[in-house]
Amino acid sequence: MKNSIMLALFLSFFLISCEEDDHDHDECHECHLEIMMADGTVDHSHEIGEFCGDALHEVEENGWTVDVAFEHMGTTYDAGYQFTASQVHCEEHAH
Amino acid sequence: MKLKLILISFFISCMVFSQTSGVVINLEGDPIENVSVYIADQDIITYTNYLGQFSFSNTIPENSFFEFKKYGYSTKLHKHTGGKINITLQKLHVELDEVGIVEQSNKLGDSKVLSIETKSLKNNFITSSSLVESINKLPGINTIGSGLGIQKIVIRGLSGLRVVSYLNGMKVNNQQWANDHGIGFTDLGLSEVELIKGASSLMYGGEAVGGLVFFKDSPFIESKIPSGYIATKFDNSHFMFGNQFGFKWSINNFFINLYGQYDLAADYRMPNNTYLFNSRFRNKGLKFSIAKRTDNTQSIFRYQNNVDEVGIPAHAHGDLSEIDINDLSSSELILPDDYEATRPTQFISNHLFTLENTIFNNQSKYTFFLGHFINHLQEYEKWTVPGFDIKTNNSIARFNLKKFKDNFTFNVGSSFEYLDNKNSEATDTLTPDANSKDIGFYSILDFINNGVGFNLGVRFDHKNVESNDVNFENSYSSFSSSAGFFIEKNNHISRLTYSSSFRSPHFSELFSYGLHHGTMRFEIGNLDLKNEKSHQFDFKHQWSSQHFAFVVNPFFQYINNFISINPTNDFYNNNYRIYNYEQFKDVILYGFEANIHYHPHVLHNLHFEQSYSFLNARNLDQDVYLTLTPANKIKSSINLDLKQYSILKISNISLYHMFVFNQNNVSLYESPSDSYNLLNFELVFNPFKNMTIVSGIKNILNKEYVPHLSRIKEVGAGVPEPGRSFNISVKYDF
Repeated sequence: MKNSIMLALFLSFFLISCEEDDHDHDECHECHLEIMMADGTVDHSHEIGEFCGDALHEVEENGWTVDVAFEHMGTTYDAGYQFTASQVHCEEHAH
Repeated sequence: MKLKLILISFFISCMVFSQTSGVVINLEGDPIENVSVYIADQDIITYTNYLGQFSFSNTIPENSFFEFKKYGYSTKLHKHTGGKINITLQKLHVELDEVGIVEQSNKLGDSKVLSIETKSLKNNFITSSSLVESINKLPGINTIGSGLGIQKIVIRGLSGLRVVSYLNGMKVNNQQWANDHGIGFTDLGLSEVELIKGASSLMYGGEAVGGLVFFKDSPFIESKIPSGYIATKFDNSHFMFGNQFGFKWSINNFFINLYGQYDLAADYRMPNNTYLFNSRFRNKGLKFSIAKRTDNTQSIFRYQNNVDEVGIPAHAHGDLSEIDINDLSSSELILPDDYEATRPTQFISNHLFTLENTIFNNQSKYTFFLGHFINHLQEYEKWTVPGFDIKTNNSIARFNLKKFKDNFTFNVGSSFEYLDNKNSEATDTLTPDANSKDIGFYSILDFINNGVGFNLGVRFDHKNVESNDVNFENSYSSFSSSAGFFIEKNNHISRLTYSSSFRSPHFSELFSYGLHHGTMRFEIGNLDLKNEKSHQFDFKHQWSSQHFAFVVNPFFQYINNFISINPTNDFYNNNYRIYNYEQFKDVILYGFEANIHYHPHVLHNLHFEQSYSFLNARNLDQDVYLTLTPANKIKSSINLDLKQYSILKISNISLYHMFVFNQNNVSLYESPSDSYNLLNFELVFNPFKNMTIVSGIKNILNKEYVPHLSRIKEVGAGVPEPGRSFNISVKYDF
């Protein structure tokens, strides 16, 4: 009996601690662009803001379209310019 | 008709009230209590009572092997010839069972004629931080990985597809070709691992060019009283918490084992007190096994589910050598946030199903095995869209007939394997949808008599590989063989083994074309790859006395058409270096392993063990060293066994030291690595009956070191492994 109670307690603990993880991620993440420079190097410094939920999925799947023209390292990117999904990065970095 | 009869008899369970029993005594004739009595063929264990007696509720067939084990005594392997069993065990001060001094029953064959090494995993959860870390203590074994999250076994410098892992008889196919894909399961419910360096085990396929690792579950217990354990541990290198439970029970020849596990780990702390970002991981495991046996039959069904969430640390783009490690590490650990998955992360789910049916009689044993393994691997660099998403289904059907005749044992059998690789929607597809079918036949003959024995075996495999995505179909066939000879005289055992094997190219080697985020490279396969063929000679000499034992094990391996992935000077998107698969005509690996075990006569409880492993691997085509050749190592341990004393409830004190030589034998694009010392300390307490507490300190010297096989060695100046850490584990057996 004592053994059964101990086992039940442990199983309960085990099941409680096994919370389900998902990777749909409704939360928000800061994203930046990967821009190929003229000298062949790749720059990751241009932030494009925070994206959440469906907007995050959209920008990760289909890329990002420039809404307001901006200049980066001497190159101007006009409104409507399309950055591909592989050029958009929203992963986190060390803190 | 005969097959039908066999199948019918298989599923008929009958109760027979006969039993096999015996007694275990020491040289003075006193009974020995708590000796484990294990029948390998039936995978059942029981223990002797205070009178040294044991019994099994069924009659055990003749020619079954009984293994009698108790710490401090010589292990005895007994071939049952009917009637009551009387065993005498001798007190033993020197144990080198892990490298083959002690004879014991093995799943991979007879340890006398085959060079099989075993490592007990019985208390691995509380004594080791991981499964691979424990196996890494064996000579000639190394690890590729990064922290505790990603670890793979390397045997004599070979790994990945060349080291085949079996879990309870089922092959583990989990995209093992890449160094960022770990072993795929934990020590949950495991009792032992058997290991063959090289390809001598023909029963389990000829593809293990580097070696074969066979993990065995803890045996079923012959006891109507349920037993089990609960265990918990904390390891501050990863701020890791782990919990595990196990439960065993049997009644009326019905047996059940049940286990569960949950581990949660954050980023690991490096010696400079920063934390390697995204080295975190999470693991969940659940497994159960049920068995039903009669006098002549046994059926075992096993299921295991293992779910991993593994961060890929040191992820960077561009020229990896230019990366600043400070950009990859955090100055502090923020909990609980740093337990949560970030990106990039692998989400892995493994399901394993096996059904093993056995029919025994006194002269033969028929085994039918069915296994299915599902590996679902998703790598996310983005949050919502996987980088790649592959599901691998692997099914195996195997039949084996084992016949005993005088001093001969004869095994004949066949296997059929189906492997299917299917992609789901993702940003990239590294390997296309593909499948393979492999049929194999083998025959093995063992002879042992009066300290002399030999082993001869041959296997034929025919494999068909097909991919509609790349319009490819090809067949690969080859013979594998093994021959071994041993002689035993005056506590000396000498064993010489030759093995030949082949490995057909894998999907990843043939078809890869794409970005592999986990390894940060663009990989291109080669449709023209041929079979890789290996020939290995392995000599092992071992000697043991009451106070001293040694083993020396030189080997030589020649591999023809060695498949290798090699860097080019080109980059994909200026970001990822392009790697091509190609073949080298001639590759050789040679070296040796040596072990000694000594304990002073005046202090029988003190044990010194030391092993040395040396390896050289050369690509003769280009006259260069082979990539990822492990550095030579000296592993030493001092172990003070205090079980028979009662000093502060301490039962064991041990100190483990490893010296790793520098590695300057490197290939093109590979950097050398420095030597280092590692020192670990461990204390084992038994504060109460049935309770064990293990506490230890790892990397006492807080040494900053980068192993030559670290998968993140080439990032920056090399990303160090964890710094000084302490750990504590508690296990309660009931």
